[in-house]
Amino acid sequence: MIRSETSDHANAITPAAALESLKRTLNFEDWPLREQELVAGFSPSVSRLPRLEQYELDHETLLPIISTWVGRNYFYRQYESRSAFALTVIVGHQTAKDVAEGLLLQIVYSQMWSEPRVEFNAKIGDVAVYKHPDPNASIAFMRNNIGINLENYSSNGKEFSLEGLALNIDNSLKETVTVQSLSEDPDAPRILRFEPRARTIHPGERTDLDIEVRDEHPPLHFLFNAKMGSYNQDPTRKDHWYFRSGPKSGQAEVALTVVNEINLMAQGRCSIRIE
Amino acid sequence: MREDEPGHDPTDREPSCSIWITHIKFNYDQTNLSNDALNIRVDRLHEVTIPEWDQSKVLAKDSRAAYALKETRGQTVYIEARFQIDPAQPDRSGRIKATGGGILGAIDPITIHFVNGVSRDTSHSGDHEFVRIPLRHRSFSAITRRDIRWDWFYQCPHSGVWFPMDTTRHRIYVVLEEPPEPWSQTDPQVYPWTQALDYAIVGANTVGLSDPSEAAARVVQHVNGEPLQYDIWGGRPFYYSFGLFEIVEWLGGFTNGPIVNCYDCAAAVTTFSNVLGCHLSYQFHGPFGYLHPVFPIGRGLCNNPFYGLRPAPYDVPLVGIDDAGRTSFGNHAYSKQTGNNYDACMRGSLGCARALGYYILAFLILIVTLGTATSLANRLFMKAAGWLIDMSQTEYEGIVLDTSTPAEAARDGGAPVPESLSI
Repeated sequence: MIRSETSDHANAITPAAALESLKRTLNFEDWPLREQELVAGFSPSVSRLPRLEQYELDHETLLPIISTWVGRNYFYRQYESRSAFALTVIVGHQTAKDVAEGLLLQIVYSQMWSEPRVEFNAKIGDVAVYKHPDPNASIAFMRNNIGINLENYSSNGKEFSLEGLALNIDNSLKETVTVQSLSEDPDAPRILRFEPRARTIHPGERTDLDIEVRDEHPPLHFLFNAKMGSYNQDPTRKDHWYFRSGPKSGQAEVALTVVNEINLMAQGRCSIRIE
Repeated sequence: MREDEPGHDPTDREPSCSIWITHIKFNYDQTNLSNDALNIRVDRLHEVTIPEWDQSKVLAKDSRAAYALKETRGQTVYIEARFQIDPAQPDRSGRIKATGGGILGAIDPITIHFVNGVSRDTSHSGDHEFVRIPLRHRSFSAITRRDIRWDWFYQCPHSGVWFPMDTTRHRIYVVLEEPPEPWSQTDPQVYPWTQALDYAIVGANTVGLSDPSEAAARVVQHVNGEPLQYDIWGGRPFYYSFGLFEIVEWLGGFTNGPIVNCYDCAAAVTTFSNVLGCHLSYQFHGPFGYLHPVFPIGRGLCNNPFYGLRPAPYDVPLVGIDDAGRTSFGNHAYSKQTGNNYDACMRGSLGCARALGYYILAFLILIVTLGTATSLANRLFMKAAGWLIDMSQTEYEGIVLDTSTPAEAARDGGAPVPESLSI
């Protein structure tokens, strides 16, 4: 099929359009999601699930923070059996619906052609999505405010029970006591202090950022976002951060998100006047 | 030997003063890139501080600056330097010069005014302790990264003898033009990172190139040659999330593991080409469709890309041509520059006729242009070897996309759409 060089994009599907299309296909508006029954964080490394303990954590990656949820990818291997799987955990801090959208984004951002199907209140999760006819290839499910996506990466894929692992994780989540809000939860990190040493600086100048965080589930990840300047780590002291102003005058802002091991976050913000 | 050259009878003349250099700024104006250096950082968490050189910096890698070839063309480029003199007096003057300098060139003798022992230059609006010095012998011609050194000399007031002052070392980058998105000259967090410049210039071997198409092609080759393998299980990204390229994990030694998909490769090619001043955009193309036999990154010949978990007979990378039971791309991502495609996620399997066509065309171009169009010829040689670089959409799809049967054509139908990319 030959197309013109300057396509009018009439048939083009963007990821955003693909997400909307998938939501329609999977009757997203009808999903029986449990709002206001929040599980206070989840991490496979802390949960001590018997099935997971048979595997070695190869690496983990925190996903970009998107509004109200924290997502993290974990990649597990078992070298003897050549089994491997990718586990994505999404912890919603406000609504289950946001998490469910995040879970669908995981499906949208895949190159493989698939025709997913959805199951409500079946044996796994409040809602489960299967990308393939084979449930051992890929399963995504929601339990309360927790989204789980499992992808099989085994070289001996047919012998590995992804569904069994999903059940194991879901049973663990079902047994967890829920709360109505995470904002004051003792397991969530708390930013006690986040402020610049100097409230006003000149263009090009720096000011230290004083940060104090209380948390029961280390290690903590510090994620910054700065406007009209940059956040920087002191090369000689890795726990020391500072803001460097850009060349223009105005009101600079620095946002800080801290995420702990069980994927709970706290957010803070401070302003610096540049003149 | 002339009297004013260093080494002239230095033993029998003690200098009547001492002049030394304390600081050098290459990027003295963060709003200008025609007459000074670009705004740059080291990486996500570390800035390049200005002045870029002070007396604590001994190694070239500790004093970095980058210049844009296009914006500095025909312009006078300056540095700013601060000097001190001893003994200090309310008003003195001396002369300085520097030899060496590599691509920045030697610095011609210039008179420095000192007020209370510190240099003073009121000819500009910046810090008047810094003297603005023209680089009259700079030679920027192509992408490069060079470690340079200046050997500085000074003359005391009323003296014609040059005495050695100091040696300063610097790492200088030259890119084609102001790096576009995801880089910026106005958002300090995404000023071009020297870590990315090292990857794109040294790693991708783009030193000496001045053609953006060839530079992007070399980046494609380098990304494709990384120790990475295509995700044959699910085609998922490991270095790209919702429009964000996880460049720290990529440059940190592939800490998200060795499995990638095309989003990862397209994000890497776009990011590292653009830090050189190319103009690539990230393109999402969906639906995509069935593949001709190609070489996915780190894999063998394949027209069934998701064979990792498929039952027989589709559990192998290469199945029958036009077998509609094989797996296909629901979507794909690659990069575009001036309308042409760059894809590091795979290499084409061209077949003899098409490869020979590219070779013949390359040789014809070399002959007709008497060897002057080497960049174009090089790209044609690369295409002949299967590299998916600098190709029109039709040319690219002809090599990659199989729509020869109705079932295959039905799976196709999309078109590339630019997506924003950040780091």
